[in-house]
Amino acid sequence: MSSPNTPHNRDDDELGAALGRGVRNRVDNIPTITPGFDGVERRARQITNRRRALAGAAVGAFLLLGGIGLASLNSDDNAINQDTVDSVPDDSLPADDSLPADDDSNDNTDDPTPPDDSPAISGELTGNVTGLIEKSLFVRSSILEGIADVELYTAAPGEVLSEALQLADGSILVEVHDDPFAGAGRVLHLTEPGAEPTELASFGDLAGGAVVDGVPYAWVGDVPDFGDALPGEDQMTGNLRRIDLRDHSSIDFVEFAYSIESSVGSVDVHGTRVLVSITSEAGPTWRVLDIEGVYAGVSAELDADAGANAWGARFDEEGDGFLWIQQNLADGTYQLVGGNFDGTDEVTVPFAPSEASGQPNLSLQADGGLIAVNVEVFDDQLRYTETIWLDLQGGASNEVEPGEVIFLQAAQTAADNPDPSPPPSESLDLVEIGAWQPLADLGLDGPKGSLAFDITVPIPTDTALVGVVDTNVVRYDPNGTVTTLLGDPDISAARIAADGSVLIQLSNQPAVTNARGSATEVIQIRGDEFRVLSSDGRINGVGIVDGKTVGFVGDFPLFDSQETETADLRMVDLDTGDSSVIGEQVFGIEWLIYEAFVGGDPSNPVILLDGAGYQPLWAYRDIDGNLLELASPTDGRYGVDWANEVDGIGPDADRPALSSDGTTLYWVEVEASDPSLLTPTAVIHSMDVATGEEGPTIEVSLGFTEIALSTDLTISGDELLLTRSFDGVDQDGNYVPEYLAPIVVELTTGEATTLSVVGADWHFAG
Amino acid sequence: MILETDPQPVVETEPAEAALSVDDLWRREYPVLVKLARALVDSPDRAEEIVQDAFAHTLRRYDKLTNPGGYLRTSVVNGARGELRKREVRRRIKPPTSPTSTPASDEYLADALAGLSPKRRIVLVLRFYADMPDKEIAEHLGVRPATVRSLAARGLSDLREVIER
Repeated sequence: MSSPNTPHNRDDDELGAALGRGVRNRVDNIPTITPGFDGVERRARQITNRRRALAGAAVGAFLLLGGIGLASLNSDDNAINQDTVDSVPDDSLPADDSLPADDDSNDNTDDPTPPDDSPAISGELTGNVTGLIEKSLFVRSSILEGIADVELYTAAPGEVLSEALQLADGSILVEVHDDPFAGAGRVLHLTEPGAEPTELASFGDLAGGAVVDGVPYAWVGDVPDFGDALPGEDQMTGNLRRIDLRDHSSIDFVEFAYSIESSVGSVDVHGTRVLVSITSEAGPTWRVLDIEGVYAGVSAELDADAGANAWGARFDEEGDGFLWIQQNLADGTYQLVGGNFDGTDEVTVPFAPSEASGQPNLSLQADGGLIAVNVEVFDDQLRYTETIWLDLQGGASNEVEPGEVIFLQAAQTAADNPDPSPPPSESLDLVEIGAWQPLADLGLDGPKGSLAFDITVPIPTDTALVGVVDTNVVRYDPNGTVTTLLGDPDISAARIAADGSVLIQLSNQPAVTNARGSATEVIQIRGDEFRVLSSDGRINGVGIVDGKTVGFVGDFPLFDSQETETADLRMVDLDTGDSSVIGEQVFGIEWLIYEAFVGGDPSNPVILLDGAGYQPLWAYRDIDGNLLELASPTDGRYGVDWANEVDGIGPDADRPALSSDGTTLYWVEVEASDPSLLTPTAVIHSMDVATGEEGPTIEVSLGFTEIALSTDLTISGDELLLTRSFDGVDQDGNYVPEYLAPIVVELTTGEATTLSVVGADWHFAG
Repeated sequence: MILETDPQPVVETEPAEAALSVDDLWRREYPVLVKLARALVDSPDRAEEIVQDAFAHTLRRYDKLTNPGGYLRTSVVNGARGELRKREVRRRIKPPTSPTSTPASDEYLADALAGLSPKRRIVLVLRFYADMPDKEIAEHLGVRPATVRSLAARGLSDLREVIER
């Protein structure tokens, strides 16, 4: 079938037609069953319910670190006692209208672009607990420029966060183990970032929590000290306490025989009734109590002869029955079992975790008929949580939630090394600016390589450029003078600030190949002195703010085998060395700030952050780091939509820049003048920040046929500097950036001048 | 239950669409959009979920929409984008297996779509399966037609690499 799009080359049309046939054959081979229309409304309810459960599932999904230790310890005996308790009431959840059909989109009433919730990070808990990242507990909130994690609590060296749940009042309960193999630990109550947590138990099991009649409660099982007793040798009395979280007073809720092999598994609350699960080697026992701990006349236990393990227990929707997970020991199959307390209407739904090769850690949330079962799944490289949605009325379906992927190696670090490295929070502290030292002590090697520049093109600007040529920091003045300021094989990036300070990055990576690469020391050189601005960071820009010359430094976190880490973007007063945090970034695969631009009223400037993650992301802030609304012709999402347009063209082909007066946003899109992409053109777009109106575009031929071309923009006055690089290959076959001479574009006329000096990381000085 | 038999992959937008009842819209669009979603995400189960999610979103604001069909299709495309982006996370860590069908067959090309980036995949499916004009694809994705052309060219290039591998 021919495409309605013309013209194309013939090969493309043939290939596309074959692709269309292939897809059509596949799709048409599956008949579509159209449910009745009431399915739409049912689906709407299911979505609501699923999201409620998801909010809870997030808690269970991340019970990884403590789970690792326990799973390892118990791997031979199947004595799982790590049930997860969750209680995420409705009012802790985002409103449906804020829930997106597309992760990238906002919810505008008539805009088919679906929504995205975007609460700003504040000192309050604004999100749900979504992660135990290594040893830190984070509350994740969506913010406009990406995902930020607010760190609530960082475990001390040797500690492992084991369990966490969030209550309807926003507060969070966590269990912290000082031994990754321990089955109990400190139980803490967290109310806000930075606040001192309240210790609810020094050696206990966090069993559950809920808000009942407006009162937040936690249930904590105090675990007796068994000393050196071996399993089966000792048994003591344990006590499950109910703690009023308003004043942390507690009552004894239920007392039970507590042995090394038994514990309080979980607590679930329905109305004022409390379902307590107690696990033991004989199997689980369940009891229903009222809110004051009085036995409500309902108890059950799994038949010891059933040949099954069981975990988790939740009231069903009506509260007159309950659900649990069961594994048949004979064949390893799993079932969700539900039934009324009177033993009637028992329903069993089998399910099969995919790819499971380890001992699953099950947790369970039930809401509105849909039940989420979180199964920890292991394979060769991954440890992740697979969420399986079970419908007691209609069987099972599997759904992997890739956002919950956790590296096995990261988890093992905590289990295998009780005291690995300093907690990540150290990297979040403000970095102390180093003292001034004699420049000679920095030990730079001096200029290297050939500096015989062939200056055939003067710079058509009033402002000097600075770049890295070979391994030298070079200043390229408008009069054509090229001055080598510094040289060292470890220099990977450089800027010149308005006060004449030279900022450099020093890394042990090959220079030029690392202009956007790994973390380095950031050094300020002024006169014959230098000082360290960051021991592990990157230069993100320079500017003038409130009359002060500033540098922007992005500190890198301590990567500790984690997928992501957060760190700060600091603005450093290059005179006094004072610094303030103006932004955060999530390192890893999500969010990384490349450049910070300052513009607008010098006394009240604005900052444009250019970052990237899954998608290019831009953010527009005031000098205190507050997000600013940016008028947008689309949906006010800070340029993301425009940036997205060029996603897939080149990794850097979306670069935004802010005009010196802060009124105009520029970005560049690389377009091909023909489908073969052999003659790429940079289209420079502009937009009035205040009105959102797009201005005229300027097209600049990039004059190079390499497809994997990337560009950067910087602006000074009416001149725009367009840098060019492409993916080269080194002798080992690795992709490394190779650079072309930059292009200066006169914004008022569109005139483009290609300079003659090839180098990396070109920027306007000052 | 209604067994869908209409083979047409894409429904044209009709001027009187806003006057359609939700029920009519459901009957008209659901099977077609499920097919489109299947083509985009290559998973019958997820395809149905995506379309049902899109209807659920549409239902909540149906009275305010002037073009519910367009809203639906964009929601489905966006839902598919979200699904494919999620898969990207796994793919970075665990690359997909190679196509299992016979090389150079039409089915092989369909298999090979799994190895493409979400946007390229979506553009190719919308262009060559749904026969959408670039302009319409651009509207659904919120990008410019030139970007659609670039993504298509790159996607086809990717497919050629798979074929020649």
